[in-house]
Amino acid sequence: MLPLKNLLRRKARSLFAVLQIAVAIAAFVSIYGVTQGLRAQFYRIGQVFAYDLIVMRRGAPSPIFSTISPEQLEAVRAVEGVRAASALGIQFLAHPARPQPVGFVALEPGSELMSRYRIVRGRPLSPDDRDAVVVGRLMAEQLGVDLSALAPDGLRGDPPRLELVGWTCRVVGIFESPLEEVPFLSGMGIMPLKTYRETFGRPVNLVAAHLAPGRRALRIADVQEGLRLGRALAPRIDAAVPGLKANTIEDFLDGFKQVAIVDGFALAISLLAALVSVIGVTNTMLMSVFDRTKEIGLLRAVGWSRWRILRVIEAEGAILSLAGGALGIPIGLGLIRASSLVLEGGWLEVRLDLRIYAAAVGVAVFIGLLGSFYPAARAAALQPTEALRYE
Amino acid sequence: MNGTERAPAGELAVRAEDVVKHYDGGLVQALRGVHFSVHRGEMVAITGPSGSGKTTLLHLIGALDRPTSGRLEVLGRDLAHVRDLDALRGRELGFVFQLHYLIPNLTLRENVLLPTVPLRLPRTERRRKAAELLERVGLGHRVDFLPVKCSGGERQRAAVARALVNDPELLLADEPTGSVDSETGARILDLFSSLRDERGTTVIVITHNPEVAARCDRSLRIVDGRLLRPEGGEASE
Ligand SMILES: Nc1ncnc2c1ncn2[C@@H]1O[C@H](COP(=O)(O)OP(=O)(O)O)[C@@H](O)[C@H]1O
Ligand SMILES: [Mg+2]
Repeated sequence: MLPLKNLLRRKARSLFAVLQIAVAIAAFVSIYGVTQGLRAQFYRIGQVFAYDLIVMRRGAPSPIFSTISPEQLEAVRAVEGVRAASALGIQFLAHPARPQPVGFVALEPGSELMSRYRIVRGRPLSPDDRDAVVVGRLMAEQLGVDLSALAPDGLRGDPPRLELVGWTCRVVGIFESPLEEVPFLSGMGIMPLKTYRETFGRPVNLVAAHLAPGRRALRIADVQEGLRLGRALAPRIDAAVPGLKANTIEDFLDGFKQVAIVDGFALAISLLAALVSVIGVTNTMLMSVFDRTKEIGLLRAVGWSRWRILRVIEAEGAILSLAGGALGIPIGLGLIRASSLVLEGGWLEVRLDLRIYAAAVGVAVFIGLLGSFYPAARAAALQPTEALRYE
Repeated sequence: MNGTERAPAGELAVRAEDVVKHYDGGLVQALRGVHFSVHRGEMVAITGPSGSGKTTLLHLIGALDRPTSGRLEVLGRDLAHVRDLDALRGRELGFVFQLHYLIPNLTLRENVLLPTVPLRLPRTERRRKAAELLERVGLGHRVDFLPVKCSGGERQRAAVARALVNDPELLLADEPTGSVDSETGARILDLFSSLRDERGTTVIVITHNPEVAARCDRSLRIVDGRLLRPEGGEASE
C-alpha cells in the first residue's frame, strides 16, 4: 500500500521510470524474439541435414558455380562412411508472365534428398519422367497451378501443364517444405536429374553425402552428434576426391555463424538497455528517497526497522519494474510486428515462447530491484536523528 | 527486549548518568554530562534557550541516537544493551515533534496507524484504535482526510494521536505546542495530563512556553549542554 502510494505521489517521475524500464524490456523482447526465431530456423535446418555433408567444387564461390563430374560423384559414393549420395543441380527458368525466374533443383527420383520432400498431392517423380516436375506448395500458389487433377492420393486425369520459357512440362505432384516452419523451401520446383543433364546439358552442382540415410536429428543433441560425425568424415572425402570440398550444414550455411553473431549482439544490446534503465531507476528512486528523508526519519522513530524501510523502497522498485515489464512486452511485440511488415512476410520468423515472457519479466524485476538497491540502502542507512533534522 | 514483553516495573522511567553527546568529532559539544532521572508517571518539562541541547537529549532518551559517553536507562533498561531499539521505540515510546511529519499522501487514519505496521495487529483492531484516538483528539470528522485538507492545529493533533496509538509508557514531545495556536496547545497539554492520570504515562515535554512548564510536575533547565537545576533527588554532576 505505502510503496504504491509513494509512487503515485510523483506520477510523472514514476511514469518516466516505468517508460525507461519498458524501453529496455521492449528491446529485450523484440531482439530475442527475432534471434530466437533465426536460431530456431537454423536449428530445424540442422535437424534435416545434420547427418549430411554438402560436397562442392573446391573454391566454387557459390553452389551454382560448382560443377561435379560423374567420376567425382562415384568417387564420393565410394568413400567409406558415405552410406548414400544425392546429386543435385540448380536451374532457374524464366516464366512468361513473371518478372522473376522460377527456381528448380534437379534430383534423382528415389534419392535420399528426394525422399525428404513429402508429396501432398499428385504423385512423386518416377525414374521414367522426363518433362515432369513436382512443385512446392508455395510455388504452386504463386504460379496458380490448377490442382484439379492433383488429388491428395494421386493423379486424377491429365496433370496440369507448366509453360516456361524454352520448356514446357507437366506438374505431377505438389510437395510440402521438408521444414514446415521454413515455408520458402516450398517456393521452388524439383525436376528429374536426367532432364537437367540431358535436356539442359547442365552438370551436377552439389552432392549431398549421407552419413545416415533416413535418420532425422530429433533433439539438439542429435544435431550436434551429426555435425560431429560430419566434421570427422569431411577430410576423408576431401582427401579421396581431389578438387572437391565437403562441408557440414553448419559450415555450408553462413546463417549458423550469423546466428552466433546476432546472439552476441542481442545480448550486448539488451545488457546495455538494461544498464541504462538500472541507472534510470536508481536516479528516480534516489531523488524520491532524498525527498522523503524526514518521513523516513519519522518512520524509524515510530518503530520501523532499517530492514522494513529497505523493503518499502525495494517494493517501489519492483512495482516500477513490473509496470515497465507490462508496458514493455506489448511494445516489443509491436516492434516485431512493425519490422516484419517492413521486411515483408516470410523469412522473418518470430519465435516468442513463454520463456521469453518469463525472461522479460525476470529482467524487469532484476532492473527494478538492482536499480532501487542503492537508494533503498541509503534510505535504510539514514540515521533517524539526522533524517528528522534534514532540511 | 523481545516480543511484547513490557518494561519491568520499576520506579524510574528515565535515568541519565553523565550523558555526553558530541557532534562532528567533538567540535560541537551538544551535551556536556547530563545527570537526572524521571519517575514513572511524572510529567516533566525541559526548558532552555535555543541550541542548548534539549532536542539532542530527547533524541537520546528516545533511542534515536546514541550518547558519546555516559549511561542512559529508559523504562528500566540500559539503552546500550537493548538489541532491538526499533521495537523499543515502536512499542513503548511515543514521539511528538515540533513538526507534524505526517505523510502527505496518507489519510490521517493511515498516518496514525504507521506505528502499528510492524506489530501486525488485526486490521479491525487497528482501525478501531485509530478512529478512537482521532476521536479523542477531536478529529473524529477528519479520519479519512489527507493532511493538506487539515489546519495546522489539526495536523499536530493527528501527530499526537499517532504517538499514542501503541499505548506508549513514555511520551517524548519536542515543543509540541511550538507551532500551533494556544487553544490547540492547551488541548494537547490536557490530553497529556489526562494520559498521565489515567494510564500513568510518563511525559517529557520540551517547551519554551512557561505556561506549559507550569502545568508539569517540575522543570529541568538546560543551558549550554548542562542541567542548571538538577532535580529528582539524584546527585548532581
Ligand atoms: N547532527 C548535528 N550535527 C552537528 N551539530 C548538531 C547536530 N544536531 C545538533 N547539533 C548542535 O547541537 C547543539 C544542540 O542542538 P539541539 O539539541 O537541537 O538544541 P535545542 O533543541 O536545545 O535547540 C546545537 O549547537 C546544534 O547546532
Ligand atoms: Mg530543539
